[in-house]
Amino acid sequence: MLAIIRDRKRRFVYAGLIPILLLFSLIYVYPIFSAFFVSLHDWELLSKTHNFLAFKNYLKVFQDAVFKRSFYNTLYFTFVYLFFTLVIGLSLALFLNSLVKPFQTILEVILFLPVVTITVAGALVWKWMYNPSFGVINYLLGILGMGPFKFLASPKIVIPSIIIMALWKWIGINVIIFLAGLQSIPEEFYEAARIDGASAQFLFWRITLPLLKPTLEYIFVTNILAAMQVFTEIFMLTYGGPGISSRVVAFHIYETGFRFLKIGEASAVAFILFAFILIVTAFQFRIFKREELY
Amino acid sequence: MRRFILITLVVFMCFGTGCFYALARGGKEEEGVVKITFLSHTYEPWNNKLQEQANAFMELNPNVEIEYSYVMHADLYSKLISSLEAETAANVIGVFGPWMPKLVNGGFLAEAPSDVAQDIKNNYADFGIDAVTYNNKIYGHIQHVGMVAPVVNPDLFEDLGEEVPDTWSGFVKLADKYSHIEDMVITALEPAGDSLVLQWATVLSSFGGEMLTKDLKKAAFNSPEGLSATRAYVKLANPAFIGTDEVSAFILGKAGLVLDGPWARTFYEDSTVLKRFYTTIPPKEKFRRIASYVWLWVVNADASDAQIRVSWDFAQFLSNDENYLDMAKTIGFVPFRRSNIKDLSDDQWVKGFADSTEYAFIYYERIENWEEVETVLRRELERAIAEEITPKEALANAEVNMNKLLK
Repeated sequence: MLAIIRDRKRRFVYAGLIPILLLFSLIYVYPIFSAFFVSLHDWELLSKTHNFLAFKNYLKVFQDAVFKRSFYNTLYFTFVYLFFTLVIGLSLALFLNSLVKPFQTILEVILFLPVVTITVAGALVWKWMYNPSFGVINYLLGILGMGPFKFLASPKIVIPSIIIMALWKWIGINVIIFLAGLQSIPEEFYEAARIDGASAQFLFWRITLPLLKPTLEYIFVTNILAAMQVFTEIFMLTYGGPGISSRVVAFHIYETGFRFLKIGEASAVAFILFAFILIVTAFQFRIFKREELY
Repeated sequence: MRRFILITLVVFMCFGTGCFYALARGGKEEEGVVKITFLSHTYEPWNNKLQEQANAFMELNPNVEIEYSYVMHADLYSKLISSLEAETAANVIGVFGPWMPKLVNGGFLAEAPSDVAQDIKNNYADFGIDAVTYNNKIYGHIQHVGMVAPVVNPDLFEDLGEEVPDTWSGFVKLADKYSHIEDMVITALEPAGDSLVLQWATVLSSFGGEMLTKDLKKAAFNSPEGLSATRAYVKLANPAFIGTDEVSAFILGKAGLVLDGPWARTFYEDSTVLKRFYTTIPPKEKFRRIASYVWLWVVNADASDAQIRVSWDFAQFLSNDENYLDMAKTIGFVPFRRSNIKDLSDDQWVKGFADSTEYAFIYYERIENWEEVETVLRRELERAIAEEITPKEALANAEVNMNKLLK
């Protein structure tokens, strides 16, 4: 009798899941297969014929110098951004963690404000701040006897300039997550180590960092995913320029698909980016799983 | 379980019936009334004016109903493409000139009826007729002209004790002479972005260079004239303004000349720094030339004959002498109808643009992938302006990459 009731309940649950699974398939699964199908064709929007090309779009993308540069820029952006977001984010979180409550909360709010600011609006403000003639950054650097720098006009410093803006925008969320991770570490661990005469460095390397591993893992994965898909900052600040100096893969997809209407080629680039992110993410999970530190 | 399935079915049936009813109601036309839809991008003063003109057209034609909608400028292209693909596009659509070949070749646009075509041929300035023509057929009425004429700050030149040059080479000489003065530029031509090729095309054409060969199969700008023009342009476009607004430098009185459109008038008038400014005809080199683009009203071919006819009448109404004169005076559009060019000669600001129409030409070629072709060129010009490569290298790279796309 109990088994029959359980079976009925299970069937009811499965039946209840059908609408949401259908919706999920329609919104997520179908577009993925559809995009892959499109990527195998010479598919241009507004064109009536779509010839099957097999993997020619993929080969074309790999031979395209503009895509290669976009990919290089994406990696450059991702790794530099990731390094600084981890170092600055963790340092700020440690600093905030050492403060008493009202000051900690005030600084948390200040750091978090850019996160809730619209990226487009933030980028416009940064565009003005970076202006070599009348931007506030060059003005301040001028007082120190430096500059003026062509932040967005020089191919050499354009990506670091965008990274600074992205760090301003997103560092707050990482600080908050780091802070939550720090506050979840039991105080007893530190007390016991201090009784044994442990130094501040020892506490950080042997207690804080190992116990922050799940937080680090989360920040690592989510920030790599976000950085690999960076778009708005580039679109607003430089439009990929000068030339292709700050062009990234997401921008390449946008321009190929929605400006040049080559949706087949754009889909192929999207799948290449997807595959790369998948491999990087799987690799990260493997590393974090293997290096079980505590 | 049965109850659950029953409730789900009832919900879906109600939803389906609702959708069907809404579609059936929306699709039904009252007898004798022709309904058309009309789409443009957003610019508030202009949108208000267009709505007024749509109302006026409906008053004159009681059997016509016009539904006007607009989308953000940046969203127009995706809205247009998706609606054409879905066969739900508006009847009268405002489109960017370079999109026309792709839309015509895809069979999406209706050709202008003979009376409308005749009106255009009789009354448009030459560059305007060229702008709406593809394969010797007319496919649009001009919505507005993107002509960026020289705007001069005479005080900057007076302070330097110099005359305002009449040639691009003259501007280059002054730019070289005063390059040591930080915080000031003789000219602030576009160093990057969407208008770069447009402005560069003005200089290229003035030097006697050509964009493509006559058969549109190869790039033609990598020539002695093209190189001289590009060297001049690189001197006149300050890389410091990449990623920022070079027009602001002019508004702040830090630039002697900028290329801008009539719509920018209020920006300059509102400046508390800029004391005087005026528009003028383009500087001369070998020729006096000014590159332009147009936005068009086009008519969707996927409609009934009555809707297509009314759509053309409405597009013609929007662009007629009276309404376009009103647009030029109130919104700040470039006059392109021959009668308007004379009518506006008493307005000094618009006069510069009206006079420049004599030297205007449509800078883009009528090929399907123009935007991609232009982007290839823009990238290399940006690199030259940012001093990453020389003008010679820029033209050579652009030529190679462009020829691949033109094949």
